[in-house]
Amino acid sequence: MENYNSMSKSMKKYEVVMGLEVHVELATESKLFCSCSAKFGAGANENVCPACAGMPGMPAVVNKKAVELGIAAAIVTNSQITETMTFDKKNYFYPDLPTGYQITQLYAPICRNGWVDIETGAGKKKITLKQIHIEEDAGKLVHDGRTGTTLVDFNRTSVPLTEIVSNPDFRTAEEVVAYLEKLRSLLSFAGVSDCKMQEGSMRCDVNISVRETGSEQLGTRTEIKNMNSLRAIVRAIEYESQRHIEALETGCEVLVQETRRWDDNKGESFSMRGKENATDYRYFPNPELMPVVISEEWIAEVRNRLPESAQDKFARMTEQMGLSEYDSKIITGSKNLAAIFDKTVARINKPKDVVNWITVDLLSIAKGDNKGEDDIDIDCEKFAALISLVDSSVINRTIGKELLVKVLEEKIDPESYVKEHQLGNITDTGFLENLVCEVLTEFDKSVQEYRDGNQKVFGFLVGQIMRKAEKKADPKAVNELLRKMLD
Amino acid sequence: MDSKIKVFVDESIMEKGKEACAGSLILKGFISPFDATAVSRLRAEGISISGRVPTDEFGIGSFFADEAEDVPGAVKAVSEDRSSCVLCNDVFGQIRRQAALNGLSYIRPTYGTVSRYGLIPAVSSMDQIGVLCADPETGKKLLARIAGHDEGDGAMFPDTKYNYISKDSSSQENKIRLAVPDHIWTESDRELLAGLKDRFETKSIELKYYELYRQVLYILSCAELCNNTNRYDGIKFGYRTKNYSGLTDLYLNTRGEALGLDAKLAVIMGAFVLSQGNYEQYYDKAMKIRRLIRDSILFDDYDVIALPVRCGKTRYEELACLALPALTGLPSLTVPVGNSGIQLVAAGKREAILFDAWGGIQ
Repeated sequence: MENYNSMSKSMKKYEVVMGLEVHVELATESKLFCSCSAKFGAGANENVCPACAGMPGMPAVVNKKAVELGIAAAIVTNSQITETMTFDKKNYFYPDLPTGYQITQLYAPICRNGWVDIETGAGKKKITLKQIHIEEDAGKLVHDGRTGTTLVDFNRTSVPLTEIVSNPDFRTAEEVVAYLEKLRSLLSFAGVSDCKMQEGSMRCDVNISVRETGSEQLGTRTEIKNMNSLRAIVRAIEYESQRHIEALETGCEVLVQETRRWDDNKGESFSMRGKENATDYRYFPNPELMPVVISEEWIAEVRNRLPESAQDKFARMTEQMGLSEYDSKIITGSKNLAAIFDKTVARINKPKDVVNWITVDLLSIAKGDNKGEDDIDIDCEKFAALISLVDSSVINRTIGKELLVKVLEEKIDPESYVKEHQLGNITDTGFLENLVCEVLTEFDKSVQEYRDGNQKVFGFLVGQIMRKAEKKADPKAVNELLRKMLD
Repeated sequence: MDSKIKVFVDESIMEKGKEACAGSLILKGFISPFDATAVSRLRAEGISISGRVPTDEFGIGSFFADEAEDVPGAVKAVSEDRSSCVLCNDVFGQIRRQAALNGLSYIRPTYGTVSRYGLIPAVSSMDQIGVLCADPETGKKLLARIAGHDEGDGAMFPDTKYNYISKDSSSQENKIRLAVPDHIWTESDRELLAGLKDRFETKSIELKYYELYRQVLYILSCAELCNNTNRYDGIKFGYRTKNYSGLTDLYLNTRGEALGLDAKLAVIMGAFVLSQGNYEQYYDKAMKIRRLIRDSILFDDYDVIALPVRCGKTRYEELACLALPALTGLPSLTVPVGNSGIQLVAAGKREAILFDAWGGIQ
């Protein structure tokens, strides 16, 4: 990290050492220990039953689907799956935790010793994982400033999470970002989680310490909790490592092992309440839940059902479909885009056209609407129908683009819409010839320029013809006609 | 005739729309939003619940009291109406002991055979709904209706039905082999054994680790009680102190005012044995000994163990002789004999042989 080295007044060189704890919400329909919906975005306390509201008398029952998603996470991170995993209880009092304990895995987590390959400007690197465990989420406190009261929403209570704990293998923020993006790709393609940081389904704690380059001993570690955007994570790492270096350099501040909160507005990290660091969680094995035996057969079953990974899809796109690496990377960079691609190609078997429509048109519309790749919601049947209309020259591409917006926003059916609004290409050649003649007369100067050898004017003339045709001409036909009439 | 059985439940078993307080002020005003599985299964068979009987706070009773044990509400109820039964959760043994001493019986089925859905948890690894009754025949019929796997309890055997009624296969052909751990029978109760030798093939055994039973029971139950009472924080339901300013105050005063002395002692002890630095020394060690105890009961050359219901002067001392079912999950039938009683313990899911053995004792 050259920038840190240059900041060092004493010319000492420092190395930043980081480990990550990534919380990923599992994509189950229901919660981890009851049958309530685990969907995001319901009204306050709508997805709550006596069990996840902490009432007595409802013993926890493990959601098998959550365990299977955990197994899938273990498989895609090359982890060693625990034969008999158990759940433990972690005790603490807080109003967002209705039972007063969180069910998690300390003693026998679902898997250990995995790894994830990442790639940065500095090359390839293997990030090793300590373990992955399954646990339940807590609720959410909402402070009502008007009445000065705090309200609690239990919708998230008991929603299943996995926590992916890495070893302290990271040295730069770039590695952290590459790792988080790789995890997102691995887990979302495996169907483990939708990994949406903005909705909180992927969150990250960074453990950070700084030591002199070459030193074997780790420095004092601080943990920055609960960050949910890559930008914030990068800024927090930069701020916190600088803070550590300055403390080491100047001695003005003594670093203590503590948990800190990142304030992205202020661009600073703050020490969280001191008690947090002193809490004894009194972990113990959960007596309500039987140990879960994960057999070889079960693992094989999950493995066989795993959807295609981003890596395999990329290979298939570039090697079998003859698509460019650039386009394939865009498509496989998002589980949602990949799904749109697959579904559309299944209906109209023209991968190159589909990729173009996605990377050129769909993404620019989404960008204009401030939507991320994962938020694009399109009916792939209509999308395929639209591409097919353009492909078979029923409509031209310009009209096609306009219709795509209507498919997205108004959910129109392209075929019937084209018929209803007579958007089909003009097929009457006599009529087209008349248009061409009109343009040639109107822009005789340009015609002369073209004949004098200025090829660029040709495009201008085509544009004029298209305008007269209210864009409803097939550009190919117009081109051919114009060339015939000019030459 | 079954539908005429009068069934009571104790205050830790939930009935929809009724207050379920498990004997604690901290659950005052907590109205059950649903029926316990035991209750709904009886209702499905046309057996309604006749009423609720009081229980000690979370069934703990009083570990350290010097005075004589109170007669539990459940025992009083059946003593008054001997045609009735009570469903209750007897972890520590005082209901079984007092039942026997008052001429009644108690069946504690195998752990994991009767759903705890709707049972207010006390010691999750030991909680088990049982039946208190005057006649074990009535109890076993009732039990047959409530036992069997339930989706609502994550720690159950998969069997959907249990046959308590027909004779156990081995006891049909052979004489039941009775094991008597002589070392724990007091002089005064030993005369109860005399008659048994004629009717059973008896042998003397030693219960390994017996001297650790009550310590293990005490450590594990306090830890689990401590954890299970976390949810009573005054935030969501039940009792809330009127006297608070701020969250910590709310917790401390709510729990301070509404948990009884024995519950508080259990919470403090539980927090102690689970805390960092103590966990390995107490909780983890107790778990290991519990496993040794489980593994030490073999049922290899005996079918049923006969235990006394009295073994000490204080409540704490008395924990020992009735601790075996809670520690191991084994089924037990406690019956009155003479002016005292015997607790019979069999291998897991072999309740039928207990009833056969009881037939021999009568």
